Amino acid sequence: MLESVLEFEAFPGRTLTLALFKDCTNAKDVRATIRDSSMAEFAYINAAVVIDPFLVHLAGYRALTAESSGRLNTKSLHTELIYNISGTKHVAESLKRFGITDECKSILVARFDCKHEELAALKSRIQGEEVPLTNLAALADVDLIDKYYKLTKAELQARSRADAVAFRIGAKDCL
Amino acid sequence: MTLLGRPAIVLTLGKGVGPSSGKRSHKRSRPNDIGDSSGGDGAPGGIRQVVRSMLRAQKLGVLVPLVYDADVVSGEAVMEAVAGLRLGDLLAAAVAEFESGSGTWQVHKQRQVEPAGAGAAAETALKPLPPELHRAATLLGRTLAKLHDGGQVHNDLRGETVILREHDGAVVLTGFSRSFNTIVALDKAQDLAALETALLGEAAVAQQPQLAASFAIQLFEKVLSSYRSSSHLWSATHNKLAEVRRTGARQQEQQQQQATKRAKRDAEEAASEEEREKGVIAHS
Repeated sequence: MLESVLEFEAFPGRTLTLALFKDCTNAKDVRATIRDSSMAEFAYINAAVVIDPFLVHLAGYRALTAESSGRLNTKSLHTELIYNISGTKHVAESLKRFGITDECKSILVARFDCKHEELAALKSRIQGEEVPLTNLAALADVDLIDKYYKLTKAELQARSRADAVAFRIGAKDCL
Repeated sequence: MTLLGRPAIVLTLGKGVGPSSGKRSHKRSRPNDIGDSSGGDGAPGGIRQVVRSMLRAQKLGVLVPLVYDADVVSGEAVMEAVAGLRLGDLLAAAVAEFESGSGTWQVHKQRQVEPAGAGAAAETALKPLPPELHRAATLLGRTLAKLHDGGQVHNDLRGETVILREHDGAVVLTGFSRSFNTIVALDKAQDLAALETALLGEAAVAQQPQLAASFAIQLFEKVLSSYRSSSHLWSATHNKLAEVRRTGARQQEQQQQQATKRAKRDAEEAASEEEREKGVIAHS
């Protein structure tokens, strides 16, 4: 069981399941499955721009908060998750940058309230090696992250990258 | 409380003003207006303004509590709860320790507001700063230099708003409701002078006022010297600072006078407007 299941104190009973795959070869097919309605809905995230599982956790928390107050910025809870990981308010750009592209090598999948069969079905579709979430930092492209979140050198001297990004995620509505 | 396993606190920061209205709507509101609060911490721009200020400071390399969630609609923000002592508490603790350590120590008389310099230090009773305070002052000076050089002033520096983080002793600034962007040396000087005033004010009500004041003065001097060596724009600020400290008390009085004058004028205008309206109704 390499995936992680995260919980939310403010939303008891809801969970967020994360699984990480590296060296993926069929990102293109995976993108096609997004439109396949027989499969359960997952959020497919480009793992290279996520540096810490806490960030997905935080984005998930904000997505649930938005859902419960009826103020989703995107069409579904899972796209909301991808949108929330981004540092910009531009929805289309966020989904493009933080979602997966055809050439993606590392994919992070996430689903709220996921059942075992759903995750198993997904795993069978992805051609790649599943690794534990602790590998996230190693798979990250730090230059891309610095560019997307506009992290400054001065800031990174004082703070860890994960903290700096968490601030952007939390403060997004104010920016 | 915790958020996703991390210690956090919830702050209500106000919603900020909606579409402009009121007498000064075409101008930026005066950041130093006393008694001009719109909910919570009183920042006229509400939560958006405060969070943006904090992000600007963070981008300059200044440590602030992380913002985990900011709800614009309700004006509530969930922030990192930084574990550690406030500067005010650290000062008080140092005073308490000294008090218990040396009972029969005599304190020379000292004036509250003195020009900076080695002469003043020699006159005041010299209990050297405990190492934690020394370190805190150095770090604080460096942090403030970074902030000011980056074009921002905090404007609410006091014992409460400076935290020394527990696990590494780093300086974390909080309370950004009154922070604003500026490159004007006078604003930076006022920021520093306000810190001095606040520290001395807290010392005056402490258990051992004279000892606390001596610590406060030494602390501030250390902050200044650290600021001087870290800041690229020291000379302009330095000149303004001397001026501000000398006229500090007078300026505060003037500001208060202006505030009461304004309040009176507003009240009179409101009263005369009512009269005019009554007159119009009587005519028609």
